[in-house]
Amino acid sequence: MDSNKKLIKILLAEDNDDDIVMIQDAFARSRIINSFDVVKNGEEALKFLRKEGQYADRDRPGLILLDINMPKKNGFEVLEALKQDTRFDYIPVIMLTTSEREEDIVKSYKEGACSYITKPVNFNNFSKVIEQFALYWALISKIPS
Amino acid sequence: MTEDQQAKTRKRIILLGIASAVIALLLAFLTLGFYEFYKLKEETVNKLESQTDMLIFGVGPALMFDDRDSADKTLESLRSDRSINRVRIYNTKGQEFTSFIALDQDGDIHFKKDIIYQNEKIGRLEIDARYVGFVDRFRNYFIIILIIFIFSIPITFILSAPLRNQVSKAVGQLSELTTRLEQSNGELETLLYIVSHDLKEPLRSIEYFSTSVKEEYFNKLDDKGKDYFDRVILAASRMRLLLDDILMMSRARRMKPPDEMVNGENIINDALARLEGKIKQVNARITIAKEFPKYKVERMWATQAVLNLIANALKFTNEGEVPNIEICPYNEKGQTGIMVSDRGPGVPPEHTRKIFELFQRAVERKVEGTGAGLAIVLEVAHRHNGDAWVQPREGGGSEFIITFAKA
Repeated sequence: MDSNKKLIKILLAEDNDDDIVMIQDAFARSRIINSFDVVKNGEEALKFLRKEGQYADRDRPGLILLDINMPKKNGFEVLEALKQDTRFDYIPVIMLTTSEREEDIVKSYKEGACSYITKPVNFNNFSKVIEQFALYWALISKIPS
Repeated sequence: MTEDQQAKTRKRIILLGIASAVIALLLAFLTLGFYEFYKLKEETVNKLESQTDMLIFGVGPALMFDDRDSADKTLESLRSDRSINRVRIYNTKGQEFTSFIALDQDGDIHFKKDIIYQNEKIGRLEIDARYVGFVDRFRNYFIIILIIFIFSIPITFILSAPLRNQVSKAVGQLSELTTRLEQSNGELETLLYIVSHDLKEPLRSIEYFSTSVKEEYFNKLDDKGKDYFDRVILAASRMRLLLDDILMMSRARRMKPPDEMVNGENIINDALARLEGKIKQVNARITIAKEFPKYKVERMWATQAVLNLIANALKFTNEGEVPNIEICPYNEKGQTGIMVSDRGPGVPPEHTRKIFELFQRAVERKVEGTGAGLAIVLEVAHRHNGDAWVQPREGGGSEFIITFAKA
């Protein structure tokens, strides 16, 4: 197992501080070695990926977690922009949201997201979802390094 | 919208006033017409009777002496009377002696009289006459009525003005109130949804972080601190139940109308399947009737309502007894639905209505639940144009009933 474990760099774009902690905790519990970069709105997410300003020396992530409801450019807008840029259009994107609206789900996949996770409103389920999700990405799915 | 309605109401009142004037005048017109008609009839008959007598007086001797010219002359005097169609005079043998014909038609009145001369019957006289002058008299009335009618329009208009204003004002206020009520109802429902949905996000944080503290830092608290902390966790989970119920209530209020014919058995089986764990846990005995009709329902919510009734019956038992539940179709007083009966402690009469209100409970808090289950049942029943209530069961326990409108 250990040999399969590798560091995944994750960019989390999420404006809710509590959710950020919960997601980081869940990843920590899953014992997946990872590093988190957190941005709190859509514009910052794009700046990070384009290595603009303060993010100039940051490495590009191997996985992006995008909250749909964010200030300044929501998750969909970020998704659309990053899928048009060949520098990072290959990075898997996972949409995170409380919405279970079918149209949001369809839109996410249409725009190129590779997964869609609804934040369960019950925290127990939420941490389970995050843990399993973390395991899946760390152990099962191969992502470009 | 409001002004439009007010204008409509005003117009309606005027039309109503005019219509009642027209009806009153029409009735007067008809009454007068009948009265005139009978008067004319009576007058005509009286006139004919005296005319007949006169004729007999004039024609009698002519008939006696077979003097047709003289008889014709007497008859000719009738020419000026427009009401007489024809007169025939017969002798005793029944042969026509002579006649006068102005119009060869049967009239409205037919009159026969024997001709007596010097106490001897010498023949018979027959007159056919018609009513004349009726149309003229009627026309006069018609003109009078028409004039009254024309004058009545402005009078109706003037007299109904205060009524018109009052009613249209009231109608305006009512429609404005209705609009506002609908609006605020809609806002309330939206608020209900937003509150219950959005409050869950901070609640999730409270639950998550308090549980994290409990798991990782609990030992660092003294007993009092531990007690306080457990209360936080308990309060959070209770808040979640309340929010879930409010959310469900708000969704029930916005459910789509019943659109499916579903067999009662399917509804009950779906509900039971979702309660399987609980049923096993309390070792409940559930008896289901063999046959159910089809109900016109919104399937998801009808199932939810029946589930709530069964869950309720599972919850309330006499101490030391396992739940004993019967489910059967309800078909009384022209209503159709499903009845869930239990052998529980029953509902005191003063609580039978209260338990169907949101967050009103007839029992103390230690019985699990928030008290929204039956309120949701009632809401679902109302959305189906039905009703929900509880009644005492023979031999102890309660019968909970939900009805749906007949398809």
